[in-house]
Amino acid sequence: MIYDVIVVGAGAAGVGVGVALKHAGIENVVILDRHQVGASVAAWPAETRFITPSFPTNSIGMLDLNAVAIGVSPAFSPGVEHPTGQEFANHLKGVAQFFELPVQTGVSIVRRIMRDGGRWPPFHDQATADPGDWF
Amino acid sequence: MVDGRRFTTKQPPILATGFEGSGKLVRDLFEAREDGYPLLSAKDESTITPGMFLCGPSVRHEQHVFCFIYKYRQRFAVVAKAIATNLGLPA
Repeated sequence: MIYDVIVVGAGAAGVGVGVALKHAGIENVVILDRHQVGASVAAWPAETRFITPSFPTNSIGMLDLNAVAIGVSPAFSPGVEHPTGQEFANHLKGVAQFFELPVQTGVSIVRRIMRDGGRWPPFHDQATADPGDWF
Repeated sequence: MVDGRRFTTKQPPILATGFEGSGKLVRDLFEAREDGYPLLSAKDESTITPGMFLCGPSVRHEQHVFCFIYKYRQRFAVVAKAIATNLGLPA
Protein backbone atom coordinates (compact mmCIF):
# COMPACT_ATOMS: atom_id res chain seq x y z
CA MET A 1 0.00 0.00 0.00
CA ILE A 2 1.40 3.36 -1.04
CA TYR A 3 -0.09 6.32 0.81
CA ASP A 4 -0.14 9.93 -0.26
CA VAL A 5 0.36 10.95 3.37
CA ILE A 6 1.54 9.11 6.46
CA VAL A 7 0.90 10.90 9.74
CA VAL A 8 3.17 9.65 12.50
CA GLY A 9 1.48 9.91 15.87
CA ALA A 10 -2.21 9.95 16.79
CA GLY A 11 -2.12 12.54 19.53
CA ALA A 12 -3.55 16.05 19.47
CA ALA A 13 -1.39 17.07 16.50
CA GLY A 14 -1.82 13.86 14.52
CA VAL A 15 -5.58 13.72 14.97
CA GLY A 16 -5.91 17.44 14.33
CA VAL A 17 -3.91 17.46 11.12
CA GLY A 18 -5.70 14.26 10.13
CA VAL A 19 -9.00 16.13 10.19
CA ALA A 20 -7.41 19.01 8.26
CA LEU A 21 -6.14 16.60 5.58
CA LYS A 22 -9.61 15.12 5.28
CA HIS A 23 -11.16 18.56 4.92
CA ALA A 24 -8.59 19.34 2.21
CA GLY A 25 -9.87 16.36 0.22
CA ILE A 26 -6.83 14.17 0.78
CA GLU A 27 -8.11 10.63 1.16
CA ASN A 28 -5.19 8.25 0.74
CA VAL A 29 -3.91 8.80 4.26
CA VAL A 30 -2.91 6.64 7.20
CA ILE A 31 -2.29 7.79 10.76
CA LEU A 32 0.07 5.54 12.68
CA ASP A 33 0.58 5.31 16.41
CA ARG A 34 2.91 3.11 18.38
CA HIS A 35 0.31 2.65 21.10
CA GLN A 36 -3.16 4.12 20.63
CA VAL A 37 -4.93 7.40 20.03
CA GLY A 38 -3.88 9.89 22.68
CA ALA A 39 -1.52 7.47 24.41
CA SER A 40 0.95 10.13 25.53
CA VAL A 41 -1.62 12.28 27.29
CA ALA A 42 -3.36 9.17 28.64
CA ALA A 43 -0.09 8.40 30.42
CA TRP A 44 -0.13 11.68 32.34
CA PRO A 45 -0.41 11.38 36.12
CA ALA A 46 -4.05 11.22 37.11
CA GLU A 47 -3.80 14.60 38.85
CA THR A 48 -2.42 16.42 35.80
CA ARG A 49 -4.92 18.57 33.96
CA PHE A 50 -4.93 21.00 31.07
CA ILE A 51 -4.00 24.55 32.00
CA THR A 52 -5.94 26.03 29.11
CA PRO A 53 -9.67 25.89 29.89
CA SER A 54 -12.27 24.29 27.64
CA PHE A 55 -15.48 26.29 27.36
CA PRO A 56 -18.51 25.34 25.23
CA THR A 57 -18.14 28.46 23.10
CA ASN A 58 -18.00 26.83 19.68
CA SER A 59 -21.68 27.64 19.11
CA ILE A 60 -20.97 31.36 19.34
CA GLY A 61 -18.04 31.16 16.97
CA MET A 62 -15.23 30.98 19.51
CA LEU A 63 -13.43 27.68 19.08
CA ASP A 64 -12.66 25.86 22.32
CA LEU A 65 -9.01 26.51 23.19
CA ASN A 66 -8.37 22.78 23.39
CA ALA A 67 -10.15 21.85 20.17
CA VAL A 68 -7.94 20.13 17.60
CA ALA A 69 -10.46 20.66 14.81
CA ILE A 70 -13.31 22.96 13.88
CA GLY A 71 -16.44 22.06 15.81
CA VAL A 72 -14.99 19.71 18.42
CA SER A 73 -14.72 20.62 22.08
CA PRO A 74 -13.67 18.83 25.26
CA ALA A 75 -16.10 21.17 27.02
CA PHE A 76 -18.89 19.49 25.10
CA SER A 77 -17.53 15.96 25.22
CA PRO A 78 -16.44 14.83 27.78
CA GLY A 79 -17.83 18.05 29.23
CA VAL A 80 -14.93 19.23 31.38
CA GLU A 81 -13.19 22.57 31.76
CA HIS A 82 -9.70 21.28 32.53
CA PRO A 83 -9.40 17.77 31.07
CA THR A 84 -7.16 15.16 32.58
CA GLY A 85 -4.88 13.33 30.19
CA GLN A 86 -7.20 10.32 30.14
CA GLU A 87 -10.23 12.51 29.48
CA PHE A 88 -8.47 14.24 26.63
CA ALA A 89 -7.27 10.93 25.19
CA ASN A 90 -10.86 9.70 25.22
CA HIS A 91 -11.91 12.94 23.55
CA LEU A 92 -9.31 12.43 20.81
CA LYS A 93 -10.57 8.89 20.25
CA GLY A 94 -14.06 10.29 19.83
CA VAL A 95 -12.81 12.88 17.33
CA ALA A 96 -10.94 10.22 15.35
CA GLN A 97 -14.06 8.04 15.25
CA PHE A 98 -16.41 10.88 14.37
CA PHE A 99 -14.27 11.96 11.42
CA GLU A 100 -13.56 8.32 10.53
CA LEU A 101 -9.83 8.94 10.53
CA PRO A 102 -7.75 6.06 9.15
CA VAL A 103 -5.83 5.36 12.33
CA GLN A 104 -3.74 2.22 12.74
CA THR A 105 -2.57 1.64 16.30
CA GLY A 106 0.10 -0.61 17.69
CA VAL A 107 2.39 0.28 14.79
CA SER A 108 6.02 1.05 15.63
CA ILE A 109 8.05 2.64 12.88
CA VAL A 110 11.51 1.16 12.95
CA ARG A 111 13.03 2.46 9.75
CA ARG A 112 12.44 5.12 7.17
CA ILE A 113 13.50 4.35 3.65
CA MET A 114 13.97 7.13 1.16
CA ARG A 115 12.27 7.07 -2.20
CA ASP A 116 15.58 6.53 -4.02
CA GLY A 117 16.29 3.44 -1.96
CA GLY A 118 18.70 5.10 0.44
CA ARG A 119 18.24 4.70 4.15
CA TRP A 120 17.69 7.20 6.85
CA PRO A 121 18.89 6.24 10.30
CA PRO A 122 16.56 3.99 12.30
CA PHE A 123 13.63 5.89 13.73
CA HIS A 124 14.36 4.91 17.29
CA ASP A 125 18.13 5.06 17.11
CA GLN A 126 19.07 6.20 20.58
CA ALA A 127 22.66 6.70 19.47
CA THR A 128 21.59 9.55 17.20
CA ALA A 129 18.79 10.73 19.45
CA ASP A 130 20.62 13.26 21.55
CA PRO A 131 18.98 13.30 24.99
CA GLY A 132 19.54 17.05 25.08
CA ASP A 133 16.69 19.48 25.36
CA TRP A 134 15.79 19.73 21.70
CA PHE A 135 12.11 19.50 20.92
CA MET B 1 14.89 9.52 47.28
CA VAL B 2 17.71 7.26 46.17
CA ASP B 3 19.78 8.40 49.16
CA GLY B 4 17.05 7.28 51.54
CA ARG B 5 15.67 10.73 52.37
CA ARG B 6 11.91 10.99 52.53
CA PHE B 7 9.79 14.07 51.75
CA THR B 8 6.22 14.01 52.98
CA THR B 9 3.24 16.25 52.24
CA LYS B 10 -0.49 16.01 52.81
CA GLN B 11 -1.11 17.44 49.33
CA PRO B 12 -0.43 15.63 46.09
CA PRO B 13 2.98 16.80 44.87
CA ILE B 14 3.07 19.35 42.08
CA LEU B 15 4.68 17.96 38.97
CA ALA B 16 6.81 20.71 37.46
CA THR B 17 9.32 18.73 35.45
CA GLY B 18 8.04 19.80 32.05
CA PHE B 19 7.18 17.73 29.02
CA GLU B 20 9.59 15.98 26.74
CA GLY B 21 8.56 15.76 23.12
CA SER B 22 9.45 12.99 20.72
CA GLY B 23 10.91 15.31 18.12
CA LYS B 24 14.41 14.18 18.90
CA LEU B 25 13.60 10.98 17.06
CA VAL B 26 13.58 12.90 13.80
CA ARG B 27 16.07 15.63 14.56
CA ASP B 28 18.35 14.42 11.80
CA LEU B 29 15.64 15.26 9.27
CA PHE B 30 15.53 18.95 10.14
CA GLU B 31 18.00 21.77 10.28
CA ALA B 32 18.14 23.34 13.71
CA ARG B 33 17.43 26.95 14.53
CA GLU B 34 19.79 28.87 16.77
CA ASP B 35 17.55 27.98 19.73
CA GLY B 36 17.70 24.30 18.82
CA TYR B 37 14.14 24.03 17.55
CA PRO B 38 13.63 22.70 14.03
CA LEU B 39 13.97 25.10 11.15
CA LEU B 40 10.83 25.00 9.01
CA SER B 41 9.75 26.45 5.71
CA ALA B 42 6.79 28.83 5.62
CA LYS B 43 4.66 25.72 5.10
CA ASP B 44 6.16 23.86 8.09
CA GLU B 45 8.19 21.57 5.86
CA SER B 46 11.72 20.47 6.63
CA THR B 47 14.31 22.49 4.73
CA ILE B 48 16.46 19.40 4.14
CA THR B 49 13.89 16.58 3.86
CA PRO B 50 11.27 17.42 1.23
CA GLY B 51 7.85 16.03 2.09
CA MET B 52 8.52 15.89 5.82
CA PHE B 53 6.20 18.29 7.63
CA LEU B 54 6.13 19.01 11.34
CA CYS B 55 2.92 19.50 13.33
CA GLY B 56 2.62 20.12 17.04
CA PRO B 57 4.02 22.14 19.91
CA SER B 58 7.61 22.21 18.60
CA VAL B 59 6.65 24.43 15.67
CA ARG B 60 8.32 27.81 15.84
CA HIS B 61 8.57 30.58 13.29
CA GLU B 62 10.94 33.43 14.07
CA GLN B 63 9.78 34.63 17.50
CA HIS B 64 6.40 32.90 17.32
CA VAL B 65 5.98 29.82 19.53
CA PHE B 66 3.12 27.45 18.68
CA CYS B 67 3.27 25.53 21.94
CA PHE B 68 -0.40 25.17 22.98
CA ILE B 69 -3.12 23.39 21.03
CA TYR B 70 -4.87 26.68 20.29
CA LYS B 71 -1.59 27.89 18.76
CA TYR B 72 -0.29 24.93 16.80
CA ARG B 73 -3.70 23.95 15.45
CA GLN B 74 -3.52 27.12 13.35
CA ARG B 75 -0.83 25.41 11.29
CA PHE B 76 -2.78 22.22 10.43
CA ALA B 77 -4.54 23.87 7.50
CA VAL B 78 -1.25 25.30 6.23
CA VAL B 79 0.25 21.80 6.11
CA ALA B 80 -2.90 20.27 4.62
CA LYS B 81 -3.02 22.90 1.91
CA ALA B 82 0.66 22.44 1.05
CA ILE B 83 0.21 18.67 0.73
CA ALA B 84 -3.01 19.04 -1.26
CA THR B 85 -1.26 21.40 -3.64
CA ASN B 86 1.64 18.94 -4.00
CA LEU B 87 -0.92 16.26 -4.90
CA GLY B 88 -2.57 18.50 -7.47
CA LEU B 89 -5.78 18.91 -5.50
CA PRO B 90 -7.62 22.22 -5.33
CA ALA B 91 -7.35 23.53 -1.79
